[in-house]
Amino acid sequence: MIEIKNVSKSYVKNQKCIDNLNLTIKNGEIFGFLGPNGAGKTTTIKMITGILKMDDGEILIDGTNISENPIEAKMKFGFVPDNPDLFLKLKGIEYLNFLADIYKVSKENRKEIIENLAKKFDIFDNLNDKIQEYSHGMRQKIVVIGALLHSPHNWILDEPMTGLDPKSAHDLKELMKEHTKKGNTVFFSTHVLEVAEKLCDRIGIINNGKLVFVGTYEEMKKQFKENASLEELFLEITE
Amino acid sequence: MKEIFILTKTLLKSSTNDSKKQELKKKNFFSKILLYIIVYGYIIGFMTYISYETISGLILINNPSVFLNISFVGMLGFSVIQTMITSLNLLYFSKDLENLLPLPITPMKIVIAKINCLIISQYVILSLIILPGIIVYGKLLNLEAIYYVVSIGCLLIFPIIPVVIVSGLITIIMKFTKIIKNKEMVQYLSILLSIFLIVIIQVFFTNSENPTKQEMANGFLKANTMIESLYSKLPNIKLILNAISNYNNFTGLVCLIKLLSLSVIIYYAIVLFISTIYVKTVTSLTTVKGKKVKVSTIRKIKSNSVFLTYLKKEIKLLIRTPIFFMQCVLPSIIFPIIIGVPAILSVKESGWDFTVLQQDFGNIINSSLGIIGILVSILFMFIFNYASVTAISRDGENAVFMKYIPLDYKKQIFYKAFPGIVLNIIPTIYIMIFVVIVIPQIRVKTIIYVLLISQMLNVINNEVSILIDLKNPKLKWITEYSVVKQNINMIFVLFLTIFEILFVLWIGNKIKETDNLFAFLISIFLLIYFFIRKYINKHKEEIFEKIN
Repeated sequence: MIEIKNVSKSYVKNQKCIDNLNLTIKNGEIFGFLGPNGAGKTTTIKMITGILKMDDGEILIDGTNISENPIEAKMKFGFVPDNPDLFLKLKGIEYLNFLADIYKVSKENRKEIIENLAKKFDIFDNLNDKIQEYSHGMRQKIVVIGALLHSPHNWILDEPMTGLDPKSAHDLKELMKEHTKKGNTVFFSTHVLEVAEKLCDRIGIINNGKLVFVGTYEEMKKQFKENASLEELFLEITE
Repeated sequence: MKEIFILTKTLLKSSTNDSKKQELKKKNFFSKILLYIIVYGYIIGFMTYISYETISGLILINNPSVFLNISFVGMLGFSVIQTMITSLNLLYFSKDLENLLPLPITPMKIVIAKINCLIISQYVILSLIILPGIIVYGKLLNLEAIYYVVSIGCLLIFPIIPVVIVSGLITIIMKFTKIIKNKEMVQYLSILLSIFLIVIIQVFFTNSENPTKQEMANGFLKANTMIESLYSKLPNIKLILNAISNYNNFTGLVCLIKLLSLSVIIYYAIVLFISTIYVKTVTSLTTVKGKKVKVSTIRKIKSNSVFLTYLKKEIKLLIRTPIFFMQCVLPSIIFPIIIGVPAILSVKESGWDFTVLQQDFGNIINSSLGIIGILVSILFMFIFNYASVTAISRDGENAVFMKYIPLDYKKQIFYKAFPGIVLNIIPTIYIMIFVVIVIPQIRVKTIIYVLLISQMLNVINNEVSILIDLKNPKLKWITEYSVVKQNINMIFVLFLTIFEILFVLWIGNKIKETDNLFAFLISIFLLIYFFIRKYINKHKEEIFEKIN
């Protein structure tokens, strides 16, 4: 579970880019975080993952405060950043070994997870190549595998579908569903409204640093227009 | 024309600017300006002093113009070596190519903008290295204002020819050498070639260690004779020197016009040549190796301690990136040799009796003076280690990774500093082996004292370097070369080490008894280290604030 309580952040004095954000991502749900460019999605994700310090409020990952117990909290999530160009000079397998060591994954467990996920994503045979030789989609896949290596309860993904081929995108969506079925949490940002509509249990829309809607797609339709598509609703809410 | 201007401006801006938030820029603006003033002031001051001493010496033997000859030829060599690396990176390996090539801009405009950037970067170097000497020269010889106008005109034209010729040669090599289709191979080869050239120049100019004005002037005269024989092969240098020496008559003006015309012709001819094959050459480069050996992936799944895995990652990234390898690893390995060998040769050439020298040093090597002497030599070598001061910047945008992995910042600072610590051990070993061989009278106790104090300082320097880089990281860069080259943080390491050298010399002068000297120095450095760790522990969040 991820709890965001009264969180605010400003880069410039008296100009809040996140304004008193309150949000709870419950166990067992896939939560899609939507918003136009510059709305505050990435800033929120950066605060959840401990990359950015918040000015006010608190964020709890499975009850652990990210500011007070960062190491413990960071062990409880796996993060996929928006840019998959990580450590390009390392080989895929070296990158995964490095992460597994950092997250203290046993040799047996990492063997099983790497083999399973790398085969699922069809990059098992490329693990001995340097990441710089990978395509954008392959880089995205290796980063996703790295984030899932320690079997975290909470997945936090920033634009995870970017660059993935249809099969890999489908596999990732299936993995998300499997993960939440076990009572775990998936929180991801996306611009692909179709993905959010079909995959997410709940949706959050952020605009100018404020959460303007949280709920299911059905609730959104009830609240705004009954027959509108998510795209139409999104535009109405954010404009 | 407007397009080229905008492109050049954008390339220059993107190579120097960090994409920090606007408010942070404003906040740090004045401190950054002050920092640049200190750094540039230091270099200009140093060059002014050297120029003053040399020109004064040459005036004594009535041959001051030799200074200009040597300066321009020396600068030409420097420009060639520097352009070899920068043009290779800027033209063929910069990250912006992916964005530039799809734009509706002709290859010629891209090439011109890139070459303009190379020329402008040469202007910065010229203003630091040559301009002070030219001004001192004019002042010491009481020359008229027109001398300065002609000289500045020459300086503006000077880098055009070396930059375009080297860029043209690199394009030919890239185009026609099949074995170097691999980017990393090209970079490693250019590094080897640069080192080879540096060693040749070093051996060529080897002279006595502390020359007097007279010796310096004689050395310059000797070099000048060789340079004069090169004139026919370097028409641009001949024209520059003629223009400056005839600054007050018509010949000077003619030389300046000839120089400008020659430069413009060569510039456009070579730019045209590069443009015709540029896009094809750039797009044929790859990072993929030809043959692939199938290795079982499962066998490669291993587990290590967090320290070892972090260290392995750091070392792999450092060694597998040729430019980082050249700028951060090689100096610690080859600089002691480049500096040490000519120094030893010059002692040998000066005709000193080695046995007497051994006897003399043998008497003092185990004293406080001996300990301080070895310590200062080791500390001096630490100046050339840039591994830690660029450790965060080298990661670029990946540095954010440090913030979301479950690993304490304090530990990460130590792990990041470790490759730098290891690299500093290399010159320490060189120096200790040299001392033990040359002065066998050295006691084991002295060796232990020196090693303990120097390595304590080694750890301090590297951790402080990481803190400096965290305070002012350069995370958005276009070429790997600029991470080290344009990293002003290095100057802090220089100041820190100079301060340590002065401190050690001062203490060595105060405490003569070796045990007391060791006890004092090791205690003070342990205390400093304790406070550094305490500071890191207390302020780790703020220290990592700029990584986001």
